[in-house]
Amino acid sequence: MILSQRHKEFREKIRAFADNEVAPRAKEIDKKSEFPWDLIKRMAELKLLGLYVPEEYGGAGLDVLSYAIAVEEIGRVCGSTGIFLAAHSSLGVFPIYYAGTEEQKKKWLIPLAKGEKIGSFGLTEPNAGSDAAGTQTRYKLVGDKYIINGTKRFITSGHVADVIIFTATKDPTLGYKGISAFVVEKGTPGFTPGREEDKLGLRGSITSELIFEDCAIPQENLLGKEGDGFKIFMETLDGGRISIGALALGIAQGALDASIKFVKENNLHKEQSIQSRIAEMSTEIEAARLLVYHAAQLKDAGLPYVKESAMAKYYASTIGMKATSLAIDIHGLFGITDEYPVERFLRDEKLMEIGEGTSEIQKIVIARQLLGK
Amino acid sequence: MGLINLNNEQKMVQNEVKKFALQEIEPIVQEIEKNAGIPEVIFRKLNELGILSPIIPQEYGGAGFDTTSLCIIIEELSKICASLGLVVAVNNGLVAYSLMKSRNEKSKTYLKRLGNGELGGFDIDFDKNLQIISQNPLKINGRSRFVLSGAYAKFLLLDIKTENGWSLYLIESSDKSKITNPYLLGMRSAGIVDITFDNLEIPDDFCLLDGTVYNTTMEETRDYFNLCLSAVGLGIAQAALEASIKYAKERRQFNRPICEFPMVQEMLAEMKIRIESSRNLVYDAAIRYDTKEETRMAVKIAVTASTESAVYCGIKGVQIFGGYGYTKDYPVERYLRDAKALEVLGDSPIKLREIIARELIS
Repeated sequence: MILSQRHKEFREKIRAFADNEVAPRAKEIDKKSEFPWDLIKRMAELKLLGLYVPEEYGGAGLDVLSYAIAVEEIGRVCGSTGIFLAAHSSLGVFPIYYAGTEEQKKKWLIPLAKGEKIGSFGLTEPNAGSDAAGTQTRYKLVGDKYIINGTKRFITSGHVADVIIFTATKDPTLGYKGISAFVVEKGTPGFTPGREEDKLGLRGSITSELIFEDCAIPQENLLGKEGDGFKIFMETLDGGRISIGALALGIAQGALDASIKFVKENNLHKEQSIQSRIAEMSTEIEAARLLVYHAAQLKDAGLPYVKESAMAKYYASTIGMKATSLAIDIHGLFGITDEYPVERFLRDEKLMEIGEGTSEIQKIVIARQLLGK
Repeated sequence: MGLINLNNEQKMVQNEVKKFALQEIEPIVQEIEKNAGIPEVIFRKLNELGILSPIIPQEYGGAGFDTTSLCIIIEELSKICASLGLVVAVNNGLVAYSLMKSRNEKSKTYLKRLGNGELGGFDIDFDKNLQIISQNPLKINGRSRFVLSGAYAKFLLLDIKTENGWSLYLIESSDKSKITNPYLLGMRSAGIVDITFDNLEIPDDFCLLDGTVYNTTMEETRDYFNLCLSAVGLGIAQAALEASIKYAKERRQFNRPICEFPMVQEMLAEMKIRIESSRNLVYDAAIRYDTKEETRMAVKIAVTASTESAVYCGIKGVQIFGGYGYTKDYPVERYLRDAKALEVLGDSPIKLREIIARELIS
């Protein structure tokens, strides 16, 4: 795919930021499980936190392709910072952009897109993972407020988010039809972030529980209509998959870049067994890039992109695991030390096969598009 | 009758180790992982059972077990704690094995010490940064990376290139060798360390192997160690499969246990296929040692298949556990990390294929 001049320049800009400011922090962020406040502030200054949101709503007014490029470039050096950007933009910003009223957009979208506030998305629950419609968090209209009870789990940026979009059901027996989406703000009585996960990778990203105990939420915090929750989160995830695909792609590219550097430094570039693997990795990465960009362009053009975004995420994460694993093989024993970034890339990459719909769910999404329900 | 037929003694060893690992290691395995260290008492208990240095002949205080039994022991320990399995692999596959091959009288003393429950370390850094300050007496400075079992070892084996070529030396741990612990992706409790030597003098009679004997013996030792590593891989892969089966039966999504979904079943089946394939290869190679048949090719195939199967099972194990698998609340992320570390501890999968091909066309 040939990028437009505009996209090329944008990539150069983000790459410079990633190389100069994010890369030097990446190892420390992982080691100390440090949430990268400093980099988030910088991303806000660079208008990266609402890339595809129109300028009138505080965004940069760019497109989904630019957004995918940004996630890819940052993911290339730091998965933790990349997942923050992806979760904030696709899961925090998007639902309000997509389903919010003018008033809701003014109240939440603008500060989120400007990066003044951090967004998060509470969908997964202890017993509702792949079966996201199996949500057990309940809501009930009492007087003029919705009363929420339940627990969410594995919520990216849950602990630090100012604005959280979440799903709850009126009655679990109604299935997906009973689900609505709401906004809760940090500090609302009855709403507390629970325990944080100690994770294999993406250790600078915060993953936490959200606990609702008789939490009262104003009626104007309902997104869309009652019962729209399923549609909103499906649409959110369809788009989110492009960014996870982009992140998987970026991490894989990081692993390839590190391998090329290692091979050259250690004079291994003439070894055919090494050449073969470098060629394999880069070919698959390039193919993944085409899928990710293609899905982004379809979304930008207002065309159907459900199948393509699922393919992009599925493929990019699959070849990403292969690439990060091969990168360790190429580094040999040094690959499992922290003197090179490749072991971090492998740990970070594994989430890409799980988060925002596992590879198995992606295959179901793809198959349904081809075979019908 | 299957290909792997354990005799009564081997079955007994298997049951004993299984029981020990479940009772004594399993309850503290998370603590071991957290502290990146195995308590000394575990090694003492292993020695009492005769499974710390099982291949050492009884005259030196060992159990005198065969290679098949050694693999059984390593596999069973690795199912519960791969780092511990690796320490036993190093103690036997590298340290005891090369001591047994050495013609130096001193090696008997050290075999006895191993038989007494001491642990030995082994340096696997081929590009180590050592300077020889003087040849006679031999004095070294510099650093060696990735000394296996270095944190637990009372003595270690180190190959050094002197003016007479490569030789294997034995050195006692002393204040002239300073230990640092590198961060590692996996096998964090196996005591893999970097050691810096400060004007360490190595007496002449501490040379275990030199000349052409060095080359052939080291090749044999590496083969034997590869077999031990393949048994570690088998243990990790099996643990990942067992945990995955249990979880897939318990975890419910879409109103049924996830083990009922064909895509989950496929992963379980694929794990099983790879494990049983590599199990046959590992024990075929082990039996070849016990029956004194040709082993060169068999061990290389076994270690490649087994460690790759372990990585596969680690990755799919985390996948089956989903978000939970990505956390430290469940052991599958450790299986993945340990498996990947294991894969590059011996020869890397890239290198192994080169070596296998070389054997085929030579």
